[in-house]
Amino acid sequence: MKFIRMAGSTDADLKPEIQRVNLFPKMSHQPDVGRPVPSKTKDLQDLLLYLLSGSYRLHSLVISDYEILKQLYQKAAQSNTYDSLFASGKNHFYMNDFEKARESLVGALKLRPDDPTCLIWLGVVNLYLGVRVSRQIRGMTNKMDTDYKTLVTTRDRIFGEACKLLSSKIETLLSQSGCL
Amino acid sequence: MFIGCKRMKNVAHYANYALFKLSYAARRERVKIPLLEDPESYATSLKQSDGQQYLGYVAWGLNYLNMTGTGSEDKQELGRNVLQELVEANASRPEAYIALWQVDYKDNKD
Repeated sequence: MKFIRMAGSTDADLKPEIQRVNLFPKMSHQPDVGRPVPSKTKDLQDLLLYLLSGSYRLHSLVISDYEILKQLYQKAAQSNTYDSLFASGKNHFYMNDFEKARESLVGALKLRPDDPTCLIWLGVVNLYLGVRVSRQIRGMTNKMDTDYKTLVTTRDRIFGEACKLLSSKIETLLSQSGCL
Repeated sequence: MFIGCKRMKNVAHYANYALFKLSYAARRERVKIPLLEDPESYATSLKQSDGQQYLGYVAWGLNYLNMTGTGSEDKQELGRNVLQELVEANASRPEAYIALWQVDYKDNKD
């Protein structure tokens, strides 16, 4: 907490500055194409800790802003703005509902195609989805089954999408920004 | 070079770490993905990048811990030591601690 010293005040007069947190930032329905989008480091740090935990089942380990997201999601779930879609994607991810998480994040990415945070989140959701499909494949015994072949194709496609989102699209953004 | 370049490069580190995990998953499932490199390449890339050597060392620690085959015991021990030193030297960063905790949990849960 920061303290402000008023003119002519003593140490005893120091008052804490109340920091107002805007839970519901201004929302826009317009796509943000072409506008530089700041990365949200905290969102990425949370994702990194998930990845480090190494478990694809352990999902309540580091939910630092779950309550804030819950409020944001409940208030704005119907609005289909970038913030509500991204928050919805995160919440579904926390609840292990990767299909819905992907749906929400794809919607968010349509509104901000140049958002690196959203690209990385979507890539990681695809990774988790691929790992889940892999588990289903491992549980199958008949490799000649049509379902088996379908699942293998689905897994390969999902992993491929994850790779594309995390590598070539991020590289394009870096290149456009003059960072490469 | 624009002002947000450093921030964008940090984004690249997170993407690289996610690719590291994806590469591991693909190797375990024996899936070949065009353009996807080995986990070791991503770990090296992180270690050589500016400001994020820490993540690179975490990735290499995990690399060693996941090694199998003859002579892998020494490498696994090395990986554990790397992560333990990272925890001691960077008390404010949780990444190495979580990685080490996860490994110990897997080893001791049964």
